Amino acid sequence: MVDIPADTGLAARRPSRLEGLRALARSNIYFAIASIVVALFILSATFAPLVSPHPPLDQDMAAFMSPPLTENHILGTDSFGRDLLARTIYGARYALAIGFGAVLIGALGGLIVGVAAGLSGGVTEWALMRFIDALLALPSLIMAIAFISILGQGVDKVILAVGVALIGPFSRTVRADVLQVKAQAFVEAAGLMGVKRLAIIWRHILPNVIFPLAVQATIRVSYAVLVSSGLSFLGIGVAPPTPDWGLMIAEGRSFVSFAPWIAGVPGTALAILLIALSIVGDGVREHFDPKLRKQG
Amino acid sequence: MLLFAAGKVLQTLMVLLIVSAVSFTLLKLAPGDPIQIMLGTEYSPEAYTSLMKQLGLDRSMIEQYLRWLGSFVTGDWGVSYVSKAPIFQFAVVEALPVTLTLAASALALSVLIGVPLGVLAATRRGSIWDAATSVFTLTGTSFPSFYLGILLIWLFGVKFGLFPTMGFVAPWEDFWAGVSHLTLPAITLSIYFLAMIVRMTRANLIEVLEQPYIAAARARGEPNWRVVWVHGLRNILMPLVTILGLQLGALLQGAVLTETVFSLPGVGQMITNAVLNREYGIVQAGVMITACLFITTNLIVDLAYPYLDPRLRPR
Amino acid sequence: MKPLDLGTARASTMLPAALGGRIEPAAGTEPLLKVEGLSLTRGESLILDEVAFSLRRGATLGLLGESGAGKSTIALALIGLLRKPEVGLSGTITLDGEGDVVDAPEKAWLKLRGRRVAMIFQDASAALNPCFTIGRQIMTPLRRVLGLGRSAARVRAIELLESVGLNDAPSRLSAYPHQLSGGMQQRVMIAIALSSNPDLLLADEPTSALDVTIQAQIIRLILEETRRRSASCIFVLHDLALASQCCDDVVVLYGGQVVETGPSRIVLGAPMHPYTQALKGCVLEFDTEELEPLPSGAPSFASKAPGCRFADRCARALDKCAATKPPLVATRGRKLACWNPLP
Repeated sequence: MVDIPADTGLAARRPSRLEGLRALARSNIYFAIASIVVALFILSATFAPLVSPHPPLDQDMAAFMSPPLTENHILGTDSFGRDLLARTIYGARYALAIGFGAVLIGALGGLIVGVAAGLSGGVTEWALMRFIDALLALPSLIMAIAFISILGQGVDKVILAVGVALIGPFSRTVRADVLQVKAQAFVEAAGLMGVKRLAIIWRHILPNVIFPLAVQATIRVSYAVLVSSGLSFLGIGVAPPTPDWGLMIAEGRSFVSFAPWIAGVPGTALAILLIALSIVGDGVREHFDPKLRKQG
Repeated sequence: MLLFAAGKVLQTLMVLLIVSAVSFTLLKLAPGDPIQIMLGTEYSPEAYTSLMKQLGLDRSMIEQYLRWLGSFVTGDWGVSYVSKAPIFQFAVVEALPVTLTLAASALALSVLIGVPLGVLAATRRGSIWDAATSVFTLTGTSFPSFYLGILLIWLFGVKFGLFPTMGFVAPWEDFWAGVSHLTLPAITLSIYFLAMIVRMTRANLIEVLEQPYIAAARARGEPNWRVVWVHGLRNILMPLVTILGLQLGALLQGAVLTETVFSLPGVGQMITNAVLNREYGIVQAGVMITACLFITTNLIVDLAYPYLDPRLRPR
Repeated sequence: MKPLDLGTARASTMLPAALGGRIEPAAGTEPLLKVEGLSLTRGESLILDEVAFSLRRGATLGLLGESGAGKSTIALALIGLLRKPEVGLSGTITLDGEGDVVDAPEKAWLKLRGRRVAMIFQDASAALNPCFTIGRQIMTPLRRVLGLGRSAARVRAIELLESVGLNDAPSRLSAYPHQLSGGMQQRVMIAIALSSNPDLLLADEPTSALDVTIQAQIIRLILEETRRRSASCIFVLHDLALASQCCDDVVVLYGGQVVETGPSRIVLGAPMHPYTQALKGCVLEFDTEELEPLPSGAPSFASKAPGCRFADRCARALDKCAATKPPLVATRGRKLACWNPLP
């Protein structure tokens, strides 16, 4: 390889991360389609009042339990006469809000615990590790259920419960990343040069841990949506009449023999969103992970 | 070797203790005053204080925790407010076997179908099989299981009327009825695992088949089926078991949802109803059961490692 | 060149027959192996270009060349382990008694591998299955190929291990590969390979992963054992000194093309191809004052590129070298493919 002298300004520019993603979208058609689908969901969720044909709580008792393709109700109505398309669009709002909110809480908590576990040593580290093990001993849904039992029902409670349940998995990945960065020579060099411990954490370790954490967070959004919908499905998540997909599926379950669309519409929406989020998550992870190992 | 096992067991106990502490704290954080609830209409200040003393709720937190831990370990899990039945009885004796049967059937199904499918995908790369497997793997791991259950109910229960759609019959009491009631729930629960196993088997087998010892086995004249199914499979056992151990939580989680969809009276349904009825004692029991199950199976997996990979055995 | 101390195994063949050297097979016997016009394509690349050589019974042949020259590929082709759908193999490989095996179906190869043709691999630690005991890995072929019962196989396995120089053979049977040293692992490989008394043993750089001190022992072991069974052996090597010590004949490969082939003492003693000469010039000896490295570069495997692949690195290249491929002709006791050989 020929060395280009730095002053010529012709030294190769490392492609930015966003460019990398764009290249990924071009090469992998599934990733591209999935990203578009996710974007559609996000857009319709954000602009729900504009996109939705009806307000989600409006009841049209004259047309209750109508199948899809009825006049005025393209996807049908439920047992209270509420338009399913409207409720599904608003349901996207709740799903994504809860998903992102929970992941945020989990990532933050995981960051704190993971960094603490990774940087401490001796007995503290061992104790923190066992604490993380304990957190991980419960599947997220069950831990969320336990927290909901204390907090009660409601959207904000769900976000909190699912978020706290995610702290375990996040702290494990953060700790692993911290250990990896800690082993890098430049951290040791900084310590030897007398840089204060807090400064090392802030300036060297955190930046190298935040990015993989963000990647992990993107991947875990679909999981958070799944868990929160599960909670609502069980009847202990958000409270009716909130247009939450899990709740809607539960409501539609009793009518599955003669009005399957009541559960079918939100169920399909949930499945599509989860699959699309998975594909996007996989693509992001495959794209960034090997690079992370090389860069780190 | 014994030292290794002892160390693992100690670690496990430590984790269990922490879980119990967290669980106890949960109980204490629960809103509502258990003493008041228990007294109900017979409330009076004297009755309150005497019951409090009786239940030991006037002691310090640490002491309460230790007393609770003691009674927990001996099987005294308290009594349900609603049904007045001992919690241990209906949690461990009645609900747990249901959940375990469901989980075991789902696991067996996913392994028995998943491993051969994964092998097929690994050995016929680039074929239609492989492509179909990738699609299945992707959708299987992200499809919401409770919706899948409802789809299956609609398809096989309502439309075709092949299987019962709710209720549990113990296979050890009535085998065929038990199996038919278990079919749809087990399939629902197994899909996630199936997808995961197929993916892992395929990925790991592809890697293993690239190894020199596989070429060496072929060079010795071993036929292809033996190379793949004896040499190949043996070497993917360890990563496979690792993944299974890690995903056990997903199995328990899925069981909770599946039980609700199919109205199976297992631990999952028990916990859910408990939350709705504010029966924190039962919630706590459910949490402890789940955690113990999970931790114990992880311990077994950890102890199994040296058997699966001879390189991990102590010299 | 300073010979490695290979003990009596090799030295005896240097002596004339009257003084105890090995008897050369009678002229007129069919060679065990004849390779003609062997070419291999993978996608757009021509990995092997009309490779040709032959191997007599009981003789040792060295496939000599740099990494990536195609030596291991030839070895894999000789045991039928090239993945057919991915590669296009043409030409003939005639194994005495079997005919042309280039297009032989897998069923036919299953009868040959581990029975008439055996192979030992470069890295013995990676070539032994880490999850099975040594005993199981030796006894399985004994039971499958030779049809021995369990106890008979165990007895034979112990014999084999002892014959390759492993002491305490019974306890080795229940050991796992990672518990043995590199040299011991390679001995096990050799034992397994020779257990069925194959006619042809392929040794793919059997000592590259071992310490120098062990190398000589392993080479000597291979030569002794093959000689004892009157088997032929093909060594894949990149070490010229080693080739001159242990091979009767040698095939020098560059970029998938045979550049020179013949008895090793002729080819390596008085090379005519510039590449062979250059290889010789790279060998370090005690009294080497100056090394003459080859100019840097790598052969191109493009299938459309005509001519000799060494042309762009050759000090003696003529214009026609890059344009037309020189044919392999017999000259001065060897076969040579060069338009401008050394005088």
